[in-house]
Amino acid sequence: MKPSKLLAFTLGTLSAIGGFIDIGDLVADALVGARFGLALAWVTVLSVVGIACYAEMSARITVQTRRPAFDLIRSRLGPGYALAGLLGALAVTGLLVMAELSGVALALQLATSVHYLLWVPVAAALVLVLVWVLPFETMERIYGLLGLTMLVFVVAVWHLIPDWFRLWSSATTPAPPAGETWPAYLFFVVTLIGAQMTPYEMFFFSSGAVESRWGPKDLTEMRVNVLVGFPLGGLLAIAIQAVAFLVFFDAGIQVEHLSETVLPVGLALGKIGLAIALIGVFAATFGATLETLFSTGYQLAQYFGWSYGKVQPPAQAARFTTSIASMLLLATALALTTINPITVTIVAVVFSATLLPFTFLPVLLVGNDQQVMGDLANGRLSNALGTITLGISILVSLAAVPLLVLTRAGTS
Amino acid sequence: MTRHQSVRFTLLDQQIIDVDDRRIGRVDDLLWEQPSPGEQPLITHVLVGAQALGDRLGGITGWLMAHVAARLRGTTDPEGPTRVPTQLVGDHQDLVRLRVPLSELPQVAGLERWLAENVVGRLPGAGDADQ
Amino acid sequence: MTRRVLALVAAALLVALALWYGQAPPRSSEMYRKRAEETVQAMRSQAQVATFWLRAASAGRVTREAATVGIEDAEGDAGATSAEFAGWDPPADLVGLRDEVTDAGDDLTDALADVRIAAHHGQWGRLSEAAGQLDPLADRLASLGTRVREGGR
Repeated sequence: MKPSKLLAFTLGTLSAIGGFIDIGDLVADALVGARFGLALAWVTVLSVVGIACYAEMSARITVQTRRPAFDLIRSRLGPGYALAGLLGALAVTGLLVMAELSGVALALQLATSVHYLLWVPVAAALVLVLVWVLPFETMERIYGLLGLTMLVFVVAVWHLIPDWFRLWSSATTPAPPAGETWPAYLFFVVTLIGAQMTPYEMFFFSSGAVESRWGPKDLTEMRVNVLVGFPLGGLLAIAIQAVAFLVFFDAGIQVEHLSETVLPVGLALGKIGLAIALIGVFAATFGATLETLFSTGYQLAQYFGWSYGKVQPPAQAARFTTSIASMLLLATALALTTINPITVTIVAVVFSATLLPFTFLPVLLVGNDQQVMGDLANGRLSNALGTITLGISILVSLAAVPLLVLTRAGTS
Repeated sequence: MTRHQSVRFTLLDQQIIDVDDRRIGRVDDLLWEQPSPGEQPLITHVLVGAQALGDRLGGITGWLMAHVAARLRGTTDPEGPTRVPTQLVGDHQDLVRLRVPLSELPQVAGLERWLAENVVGRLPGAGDADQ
Repeated sequence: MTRRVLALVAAALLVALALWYGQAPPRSSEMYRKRAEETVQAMRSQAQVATFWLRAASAGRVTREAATVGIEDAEGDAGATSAEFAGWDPPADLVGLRDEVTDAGDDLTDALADVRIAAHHGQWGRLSEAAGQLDPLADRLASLGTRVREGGR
């Protein structure tokens, strides 16, 4: 394999990892680990399988048709349905842009102790400049490589010299531990699914396939990215849960802040470990800011048929460029209202969980369309996994808001 | 051709690209004309733009969309939503391909033009694409 | 059209109702006791997080910048938690419980404020003794929580 091909392979994988871990994961995984141990690790496994299935499907659609998945939703299902989907997706992803941007600011705060609100405009400016100046693949490469530093969480698990039997028995007991109730447990099942199976990952991956100009010959490369990237992301998520479990569970500590997510790494590996974790958090949230931001631009442009993406000069995709800049501005303004970004994340993630079936269904339908997909239409495995995931997403969607209300966002 | 071909699936809501492969918009609506009573109605124009889409969708959302779009258009066309005569439409198997470049369709994608000239185009590096 | 509008209004009402239910103060003694227990557990958690950060900082496991942020987070949480609880009217027979919890909350926020101020002034040497001050607070909150749960006062 040529060195450049190998590089392309690994870097696509890295961005799949980075795309999986974002501010929602960073806080939710630590929160869950501190309260429930590894009793929710199975949710991560489920989410990885589900999102990998649909990311592969939507990228395969792109590879065959040279158009991204969202593009085809309007063509096949009509403008009304697609508009409802667009508005829902924009609302959720827009909130996430704000949350991710705040996440970048929070990471910088932890490194410097300068208040995060002061970092928000700096982070936004950095995003704007890099988006304007850097080519798409270079952007992915940078935060992909830096995101590898998140593996420090896996190292930290090792260094805490855990009782492996205890970890194992926690992971294999899918029930709330003593002192926790079933409604709270189920609420966090919903939260984790919402945080880990986010539609923007799917849309970004398939729009990215267009930007990278993938065709049928890139099918294998795309599948390797999915099969290696997302499971690695899942491993990182479980590692975050595990370190929180090992450090906070017995002390009965509740996690509500990013600072608490990285504290265990400091305790395990010292200042160097903490520094590496902060670089990882910065890269993950920065990458997620870019992905959510671009997702909103792609969704809007693909619905209305505008030119989009970085394959042409910004002046030839003016509406796309303007919407992205406006979305970033909006997100910055929202962050500067001092509203708690963690609260916004939880709300966005729960509503994302509610909208999941509406995003999965069209992709599943288009993937099965022989006329569009030809010989790359869904096989039995794709359809089986896709249908099961869709079924689960329907259950989650129905339970999300009732559980949110019943448990008062997990507090009781 | 044994499959029943409905314009709903083959033309409406499809992506439109110009002769240079540049994305312009989508087929948001169609304008029909009946040359004389009893004759088959013909599509004379393809309507492009959020104004046409808003009119087609109807309801509060459609009305809102049409009004905002009408405001945002670079030119004021008293005739209503932007239209492209069907003579300019070439192959429409998958994407609707026009026979002319966007520059020859001054009434289409007014917002794109306006933003490109007045906002995006003024920033340094706006003309550079990814390699 | 009117059906859609009605459906939208109904949905909005449902959302408003749900939010109100979520935010409503506790009305019965049982609910109040439950919220008291949750508050106490949260405060104990906040005290312990601060202790963790202080110990980690003195052991050199974390940077002072990160520890400062961790302490500020804990202090902010403690203030918000005790203020929220203090805002709820207790049932007549549980006024004493309210006093106990709010007293503990005040002591906690004072202690954490001292820690935060010392951290900002760079008096890190003093802070390991401050960690010692937080331990008995955490214990006090733990035993309070047990008493609340077991129906005592």
